[in-house]
Amino acid sequence: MTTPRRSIKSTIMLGAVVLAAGAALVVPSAASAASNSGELPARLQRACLRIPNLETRTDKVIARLDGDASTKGSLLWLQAHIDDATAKGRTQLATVLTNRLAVRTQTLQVLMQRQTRLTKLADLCRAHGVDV
Amino acid sequence: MVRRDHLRSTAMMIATFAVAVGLVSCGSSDAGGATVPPAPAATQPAITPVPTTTTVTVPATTDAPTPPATEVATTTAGVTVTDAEVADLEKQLDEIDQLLAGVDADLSQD
Repeated sequence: MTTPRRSIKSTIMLGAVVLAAGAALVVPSAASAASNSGELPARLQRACLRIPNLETRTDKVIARLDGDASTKGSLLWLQAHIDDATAKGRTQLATVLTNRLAVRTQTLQVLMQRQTRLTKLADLCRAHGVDV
Repeated sequence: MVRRDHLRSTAMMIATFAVAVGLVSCGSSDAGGATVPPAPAATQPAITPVPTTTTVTVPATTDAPTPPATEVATTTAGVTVTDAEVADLEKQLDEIDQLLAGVDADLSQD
């Protein structure tokens, strides 16, 4: 008689576990669906409101990198320093600055692409009714 | 005597019914048949259910992001936006933010 009782007990336990697992599957998805319905426009607005500051920062950095030789940090300013270091025989410094110039030149290209992307994202936000 | 026999037969019926229920439940839980229950009775209830619940729970968390992708919310302009679009926008802005932070750090070396 002990075996059937244990079997029944285990069957009941198994059933309870399956029910609990089913509830665990159903409840979180329902909860997330409920929370997302009101959260999505707010998230969109918050993201869109970040764009103006990013545009300002990007414009500022591009202007600096693209500046003349007197603008500290610009590509031309770096090139002038490379020339100076080379003329003075400071080859190690010249190499470091040359490598930095190569990175910074690529950075300027990437920043220009991101600037265009930010403009498109701002247009997207306006299309969704968010005033950027 | 008749009453005693009646009680005995009732007890036998209950016992037979209980055994039948036990055999049916054993047959549904594992395909081993009626001879299996005696030996692994101690290990059977606890060990087998636990892995099934854990393997079921893991897909639940990975499946969770899928429904919001199909879910849409309407903004004031009447244009719909999905969760995936907002997530992509946030990701792009984060990437630009990190890029600018890296450039600032690079420029500070001059």
